Amino acid sequence: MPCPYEQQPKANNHPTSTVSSLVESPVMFNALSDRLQKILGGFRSRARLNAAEIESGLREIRIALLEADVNLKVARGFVTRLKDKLASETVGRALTPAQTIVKLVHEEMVNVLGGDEAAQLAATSYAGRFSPMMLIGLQGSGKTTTAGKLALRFRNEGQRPLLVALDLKRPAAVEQVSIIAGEIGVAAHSGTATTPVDLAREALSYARKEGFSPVLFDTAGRLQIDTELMDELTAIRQVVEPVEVFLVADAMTGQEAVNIAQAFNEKVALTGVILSKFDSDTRGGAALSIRETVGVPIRFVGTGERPDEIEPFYPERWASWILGMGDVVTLIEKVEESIEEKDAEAIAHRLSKERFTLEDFMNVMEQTQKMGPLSQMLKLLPGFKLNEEQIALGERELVRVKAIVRSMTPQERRDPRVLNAGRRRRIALGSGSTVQDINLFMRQFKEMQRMMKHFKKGKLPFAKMFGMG
Amino acid sequence: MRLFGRRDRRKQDASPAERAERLSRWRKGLNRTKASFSGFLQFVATGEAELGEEYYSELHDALILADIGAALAEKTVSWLRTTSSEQGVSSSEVARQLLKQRLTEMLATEEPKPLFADERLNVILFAGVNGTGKTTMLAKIARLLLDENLSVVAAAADTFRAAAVEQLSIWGQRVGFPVITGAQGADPASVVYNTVEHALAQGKHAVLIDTAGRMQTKTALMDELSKIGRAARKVVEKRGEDPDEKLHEVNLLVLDATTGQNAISQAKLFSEAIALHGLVLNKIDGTAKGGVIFPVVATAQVPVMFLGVGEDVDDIVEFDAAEFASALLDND
Repeated sequence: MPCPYEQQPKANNHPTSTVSSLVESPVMFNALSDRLQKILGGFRSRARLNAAEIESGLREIRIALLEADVNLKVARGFVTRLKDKLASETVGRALTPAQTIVKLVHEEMVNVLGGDEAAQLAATSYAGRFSPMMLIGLQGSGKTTTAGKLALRFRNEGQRPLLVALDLKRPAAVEQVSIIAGEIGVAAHSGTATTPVDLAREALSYARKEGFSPVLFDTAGRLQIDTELMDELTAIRQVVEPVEVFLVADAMTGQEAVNIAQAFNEKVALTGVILSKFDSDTRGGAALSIRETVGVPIRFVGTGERPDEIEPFYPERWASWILGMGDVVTLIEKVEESIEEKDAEAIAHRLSKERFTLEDFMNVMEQTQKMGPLSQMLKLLPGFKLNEEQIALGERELVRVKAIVRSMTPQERRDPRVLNAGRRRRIALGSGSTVQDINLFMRQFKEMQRMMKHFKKGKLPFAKMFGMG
Repeated sequence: MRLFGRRDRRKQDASPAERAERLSRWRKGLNRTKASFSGFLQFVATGEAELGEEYYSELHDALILADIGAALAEKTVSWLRTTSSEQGVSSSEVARQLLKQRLTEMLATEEPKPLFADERLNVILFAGVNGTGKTTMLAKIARLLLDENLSVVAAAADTFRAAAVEQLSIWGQRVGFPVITGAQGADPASVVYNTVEHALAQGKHAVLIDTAGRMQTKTALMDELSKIGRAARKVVEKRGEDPDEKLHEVNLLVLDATTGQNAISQAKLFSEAIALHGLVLNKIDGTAKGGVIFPVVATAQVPVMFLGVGEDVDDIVEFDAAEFASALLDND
């Protein structure tokens, strides 16, 4: 399963992080749901989870968290809280014990990652006020690239950002900032001062005079244990009086993420964290660790090397990803983005009045294909572990289904209830399939109609389909 | 490790002062490493803890906090438990020695390829994800080679990142090696090709290749890396010579010690794109323990060759498994 933002199709799927040669039972991140299902799957009937089910479920979750690089202490705390919730949770009739656990894990994780606040933060506007911002972090965490991305974002919002390179240490760091500024068409300050603090002061008054804002201060990478350089950050902060102090942290950071974030926070009081390099197969457990221990919101994630590859951090989305539960929300958004507005309106309008028809189905199918190959879409769904062959099979299946619908008359498409045995035989002939195929498809379509009713009520059909709703 | 192949013998001829200087430089680096480890496995290190459940559970936690991974931590602890009970070990000091030996074995792979071979064109390539410190590491290795009176030229094959070429060029000026560059956005393999041609024509000893950082899951970029890895051989083949005889190739994967379990995926996927001959564990001077190197070595079966211990050009330590295990477990 690729990262939610991974755009490149992979030639072959590889398990993300197994130490299969080392352990008896290899732990795969992308299979937490599957593993829970396997252990707890069979049982459906009881109203409550028993102690043994809870214990083995929690163990799997703890391992999945650790393998996702969530800090040990944070993982422990998480599992303990979960334990209480599980004990009091009633297993709904619709859900298996495994699904119940997955649901609670997801809820708890969204909760820790900041829940609703993310949407508000994403909408934060810096327009109309002078907004200096600092980017700080370890060496190689991606501060300069991120500064460029933020600048482009602000420029696209109609503001006049200014990039300021305060990294006088790394060779060519200043040149890097001015090249990036040129590429994205924003201004970069080139000062004459020889220390970062003086340079910051100089840039600040230049920005005020010329009406630039936000002003993005790109600082040199430093170790959080380097007292001298940490003091320098404090001094810069005092001069700059920033509205935002962003810690840029590598999403692939391991157990130390907590100590790093804490040290920076104590010294310079962070306002937010930006997780860079989230476009690999990393689980990014650092997000959970940092959020839980430092209490500072994760604001953005870097999803590639290009200047536009930055996204607001949405807990809903990443909660699933960290535990390898697929990314339902991203998929839904993709659907929403690619369905053209008028078509979407038309479908929504009809859904509000009538049933979901086969014509709508064809429409949706065509829109779906605009989103990209089926294989990419399937990988976004939880619980899908298909090999290339199975995906190819699925794609052939889609072609067949389309042929079936195309062999129907407009009347049949609008109201499939008229499909009697004779009509079905005709459609089978016309589409090169059998009557059994038609029957099977019509049963599936009925199920789809049922789900679309939930959709109307604002529920997510995909989540429902895969036992996560 | 025979760092310089046959050349190592020449080191014996170095003046005592020179040898002492080299030793102290590396010791300084390693001490710094130890400083960051200290206080970490301290309860193991003091050897005073009682060998019981509490000991094992604390050891387990300490290993996980060192990024060794949940699976390997569990496996290591249960190995120690079994071995201690089989051998009737009750002293935690003896258990510590057992553990040290075990950790050393886990990192002691077969003898790595020497970094340098005489009478060949040495081609050393630096690969890795973004921000692990490839360029700085290249400068450090260049310095090691220059100290041995070898001639070095670098290929600026990171034609993607803004100012990457400038960064390498500045290192070249500081340390004293020429850099062959291409235009921004040029085909990196062609830069390598030109550099190797230049090196052969000038009779240089070594070509160091600085590649762009790339995420291991980006297929197109990994294909590009494979192509970069083939460029030197192409030059030699075109001259009608045998690359296996003419070249000594060492491909290094540079890992960031602060990275968690994703380093395993990095090692795995990079080794699918190019033959890896050695790992560099960089930024070990921070607070991260770099424990992920244990599952990485086990999975990729590639030896660790160097540790990066700071930002200065001298901040490089030749890796030694026993020393690394000591640094993790010893008190002084």
